[in-house]
Amino acid sequence: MYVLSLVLAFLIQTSVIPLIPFLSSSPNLLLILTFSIGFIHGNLPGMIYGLGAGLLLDLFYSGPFGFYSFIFVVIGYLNGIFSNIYYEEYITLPMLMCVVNEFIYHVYIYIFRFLIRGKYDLPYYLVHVVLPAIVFSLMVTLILYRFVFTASEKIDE
Amino acid sequence: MMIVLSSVKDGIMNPIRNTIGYVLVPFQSGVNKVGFGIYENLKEHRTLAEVEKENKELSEKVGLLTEQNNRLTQDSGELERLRELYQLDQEYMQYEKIAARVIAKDSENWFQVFRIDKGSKDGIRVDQNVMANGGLIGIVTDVGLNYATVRSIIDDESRVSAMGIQSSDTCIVAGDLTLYERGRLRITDIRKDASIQEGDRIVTSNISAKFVPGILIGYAVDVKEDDKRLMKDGYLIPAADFNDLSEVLVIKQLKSDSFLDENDGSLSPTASGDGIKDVPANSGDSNITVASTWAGMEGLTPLSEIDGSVDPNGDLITAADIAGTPAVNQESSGSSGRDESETEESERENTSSGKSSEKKTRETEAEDEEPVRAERETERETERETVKETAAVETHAETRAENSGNGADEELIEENPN
Repeated sequence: MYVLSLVLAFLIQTSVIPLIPFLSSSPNLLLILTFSIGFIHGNLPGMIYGLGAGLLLDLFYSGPFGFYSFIFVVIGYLNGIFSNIYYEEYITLPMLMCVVNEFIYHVYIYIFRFLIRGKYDLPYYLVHVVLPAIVFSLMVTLILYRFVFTASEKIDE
Repeated sequence: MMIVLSSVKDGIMNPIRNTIGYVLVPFQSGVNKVGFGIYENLKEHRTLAEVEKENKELSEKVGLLTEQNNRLTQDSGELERLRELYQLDQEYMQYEKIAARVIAKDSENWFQVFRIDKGSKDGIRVDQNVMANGGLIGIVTDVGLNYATVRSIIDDESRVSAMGIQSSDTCIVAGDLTLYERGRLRITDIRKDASIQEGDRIVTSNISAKFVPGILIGYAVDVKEDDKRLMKDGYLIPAADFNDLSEVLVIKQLKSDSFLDENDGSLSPTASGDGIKDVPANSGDSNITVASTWAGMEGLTPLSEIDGSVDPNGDLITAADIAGTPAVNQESSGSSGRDESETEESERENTSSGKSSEKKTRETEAEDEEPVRAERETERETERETVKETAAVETHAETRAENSGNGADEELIEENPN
């Protein structure tokens, strides 16, 4: 079930969303799934799911291997910490987490892929890359988090 | 640990990548096709599935052919001049290409990379150049069995060694994320005294290690001195449309392969002789192709001029175009003595091509030029380039004279003044 959702999200993210012409940015489905799982199920499942998602991205794109795996595992773990204080119908915290996670993720990419090459124009990147990504991810989180939540409830039953 | 490992040894993850790719890529192209199909359906509200299918197949084919045709029509006028100046055209025509479909894109705005559905089993290799819509798109960075990853030239990490087509001054075309939304790339490292101007066509350079020479990248704009007043830099508007990529062409030839051939040919003085042998053999192989190409060129020379004048950035191109070959030669040659002989030569060439249907005269003229060339070869090394240029022109003339099979085409070309 989880593996299936992982692969499905990956395929949608890479093959379907770029086809939609009016989206200037696209939500990072794998990231949303990872932190949702970590948030609902705790540290370890979050890390395992994050590892799976990160490996998919690493295997898919060239570059140093493990670049994505690392950040996804970290995000899975960090969100797992907050699983203690989660309430079932409480959507504000996941939304807040979404913003924080997206921010960490993009800053991580910026630092290791752009800053080290001497690209210092951080404000531009924040406004033109990070902000749209966060907004779109927030919109998708509203739907996807609900979906993960109900799905995991059904599995528990 | 894995990051370090893969940084040290690049190929270590290839088996795993291949396995995953082997499993996922069919899905990916499947999902891609399904997604595309749904999208098409919604857009057009078509109920006849069969018609849709057939239409899709046909439009794919038409798109591919139109793209190829566009590229030919755009570049053939330019190539006509290149033929005389750089002798590049033969190679450009002969680049063998594979068509591939874009099946996935990096969904984030940080990187401009995409994946195509052809891999090592289709003959794709790392560092092969990718083009579409009449311009350079990117370079293959990663190859699996049935997929390959391509980094666009608009990616922030992309650097392409390029040159202006008019003056062959070299420069670097760099992708820049901050310019991405304005649809521009950055041109840097132009020499301060270089004559690259606004509207110049920028093509891949012949000194690039990874890009095969002569592929159109785009047009230069806003070229000016940089802050330190040591070099010039500017912006480039790419020739290809990056928003709407669905099919691309991968050039099979690798630049690193051609190093071997070029080293053999260019160092020996018989390089022009090789050219002569090459061309008739080629025309014998595919008479129709050559004939049609030449016919296309004939029709297109005026077209490209019109094109240039319509193009808002193209004013300067046309000016240089109309000025013609001698002007460019003067620009590129250094000493005044050489200038004179150079213009003399090209003038003679002009008059000879102006006369139509007098093959014998031209042949004897070409023979007259032979000793001139021999004399020059004894001169300094720096002049060797110029000699090659004249040799190129000469080859061209001889080829036309020899190639009596295509009488009609010949006349067409001869009627066209240089």
